[in-house]
Amino acid sequence: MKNEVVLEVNNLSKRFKVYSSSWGRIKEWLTFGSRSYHKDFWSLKGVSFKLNKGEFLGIIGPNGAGKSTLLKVITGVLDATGGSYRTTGKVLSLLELSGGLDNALTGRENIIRTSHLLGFPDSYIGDRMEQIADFAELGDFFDRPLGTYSSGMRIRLAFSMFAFLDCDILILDEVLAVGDIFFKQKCYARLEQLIERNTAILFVTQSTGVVSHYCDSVILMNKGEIVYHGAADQAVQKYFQIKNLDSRLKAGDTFIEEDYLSSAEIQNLPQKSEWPSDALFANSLIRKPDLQTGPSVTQLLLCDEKGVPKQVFRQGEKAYFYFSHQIRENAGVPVPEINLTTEKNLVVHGKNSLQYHAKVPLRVRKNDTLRVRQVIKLDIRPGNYVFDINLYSIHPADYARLNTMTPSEFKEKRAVILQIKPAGIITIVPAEDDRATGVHNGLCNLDGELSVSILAGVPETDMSEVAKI
Amino acid sequence: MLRTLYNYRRYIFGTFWVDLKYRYSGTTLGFFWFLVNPMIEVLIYAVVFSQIITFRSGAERGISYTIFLVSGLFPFIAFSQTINRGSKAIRTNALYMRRSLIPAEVFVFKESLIAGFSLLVYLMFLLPLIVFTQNPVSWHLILWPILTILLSLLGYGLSLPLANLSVLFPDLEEVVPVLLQLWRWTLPIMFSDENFPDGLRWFMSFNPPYYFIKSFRDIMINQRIPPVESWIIMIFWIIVTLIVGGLVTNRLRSDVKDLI
Repeated sequence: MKNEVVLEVNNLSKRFKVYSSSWGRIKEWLTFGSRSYHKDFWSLKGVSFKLNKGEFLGIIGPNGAGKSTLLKVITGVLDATGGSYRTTGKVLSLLELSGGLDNALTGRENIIRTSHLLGFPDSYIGDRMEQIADFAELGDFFDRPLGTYSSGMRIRLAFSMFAFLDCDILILDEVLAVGDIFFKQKCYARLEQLIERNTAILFVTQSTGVVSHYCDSVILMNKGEIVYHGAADQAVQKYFQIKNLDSRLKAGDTFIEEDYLSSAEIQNLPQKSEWPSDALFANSLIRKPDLQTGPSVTQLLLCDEKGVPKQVFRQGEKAYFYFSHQIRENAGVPVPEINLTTEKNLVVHGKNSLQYHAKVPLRVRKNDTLRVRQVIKLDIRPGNYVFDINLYSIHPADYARLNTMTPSEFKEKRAVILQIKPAGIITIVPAEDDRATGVHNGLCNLDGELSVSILAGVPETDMSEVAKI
Repeated sequence: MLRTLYNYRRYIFGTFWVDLKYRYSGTTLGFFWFLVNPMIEVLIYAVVFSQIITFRSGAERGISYTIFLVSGLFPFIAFSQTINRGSKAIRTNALYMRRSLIPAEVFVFKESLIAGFSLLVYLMFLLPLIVFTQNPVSWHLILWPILTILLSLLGYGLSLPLANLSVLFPDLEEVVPVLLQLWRWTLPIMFSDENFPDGLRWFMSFNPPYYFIKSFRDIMINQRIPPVESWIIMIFWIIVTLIVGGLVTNRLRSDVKDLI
């Protein structure tokens, strides 16, 4: 069953005619097309791939890569200029979520109308309505006009509806980029159910994390072409390469073997003795769906001084971040970094290995596992914080001349190996000895001290007496 | 093209009611606005043409000028509504065009449906008025719905190419209302076609809505079934505009999708 092709795309291309003004089109018509007054813009250039039953295919790529155009052509919203595609069975598309819903109708009415539009018979939606309502968790709003919905509610409604209509191919475009984390998790769980039922899912996203966690295979697009089609990790890796193409040094190829640390030197780096057991990683409280938890790829553990995994810390407590990553491609000096931001995206603290003056290898090779341990004292105001993990690499030659580099030059020279944003949430609660005043005001408890002393003055009664005299 | 409309019949009628229901939602008078605009127009023309300027109309046959006026003006208002809203239909529904597979002609058709419906409502409103003002009522009025359907089809056929072209040339949207204003005066609405010079009357068969207006007048004022030539010319124009509209729509479909 699984190998049955439900979507076959052959050499598909799409051209947009770009006219500088409407007159160009008129002139072109008047000359019966013998003269051209437009520029061609090829949004798709010969795209071919196949989608099997029950396959979860992700499409990633930078903005303007042609991802959305591809979906629009496949769903028939746009006509292809060349090539062909063939679909088997029912195709449902959630192109730009909640687009086709009517503000005047209630959630329930919208579902009925959409199901009609999609060609489902009248009786079809009947018993599914309650399932949809349950899934959407909209409460009374389900029977109120859509105009009263918040944007998050609209997405809940739209996704819930599509998740319960039977189809052979489900096309999702930048869905779930919004919405709260709990609903998102529910959505992904539902998608997995659909896949078990042999629904094929075509999923366009910017989130490399989601792609590498859920997708069986991934297509990486750039400038209207398929650059890579295969394993998710490889695609994500190549995606970052494209994004950093200009700044990235040709990692690995130009290095000479001596740059690499001897095995003795590797031994000198923070070692296994300090590394928590795999069981702890498995119990890690950080359960971001888009973080790889497989033992060999990327691991993340957050715990306290005693090595107890936790996510809630008292103010002033030290957080121990353990993070390991299997290198996919030869690279230069690895520069790991953790950034701590507030819910409003204000960076509270961020520090990388260079800033710590930590000892780092001059290069890492493919299939090496890089282990990073970072300790941060969380002396910040109680509340929720988000942390990101970044892993960069810089060329050993650049590493040698760090002191002469400007900050912007440094940013240009570094290449991204991995970015997990957000990697997890930390909750800070007040310290035990907290009093009514709190430990401090503001965001950070900065190191410092304060002392009070009194210089005895003349009592006020004496002063008045002095005045009388 | 007719098959597409048939396939989307549930959508068309479903949204048709919703559109009607919500077009005036939030206003105090609500659905009443549906009638206010045409009534005001009737009032203005009635005052101007019966009190200030006088034309030869049906007055000598015992029919008040107001009734004479509405018999031509109401159909024309519905017609110009179809063209006006229909020619914008694709652009106003751009959201759906971009995200769903609903073909462009569905949106245009819906506008002509709404205009046709309003013309029927006008009739409902008109009947008591005619009786009340002691003007003669004849059984010929049962042809009103049939003529309404025909007029809506003409409006649909004419606004189809306009709707598609206005996506490619947005200026068209500004031109259409002006043309409709001018068009009104090329038709015997405010006055009888007897006021036209003879040479011009022959020329009128090239003016698509002319015979439609004339037929509305026939059933209301002259109290007779429109002559065969009227029917033939009306059907001719409907077929021509539908074919041209369909061809233009199919020719431009891909461009419209790209540009919307």
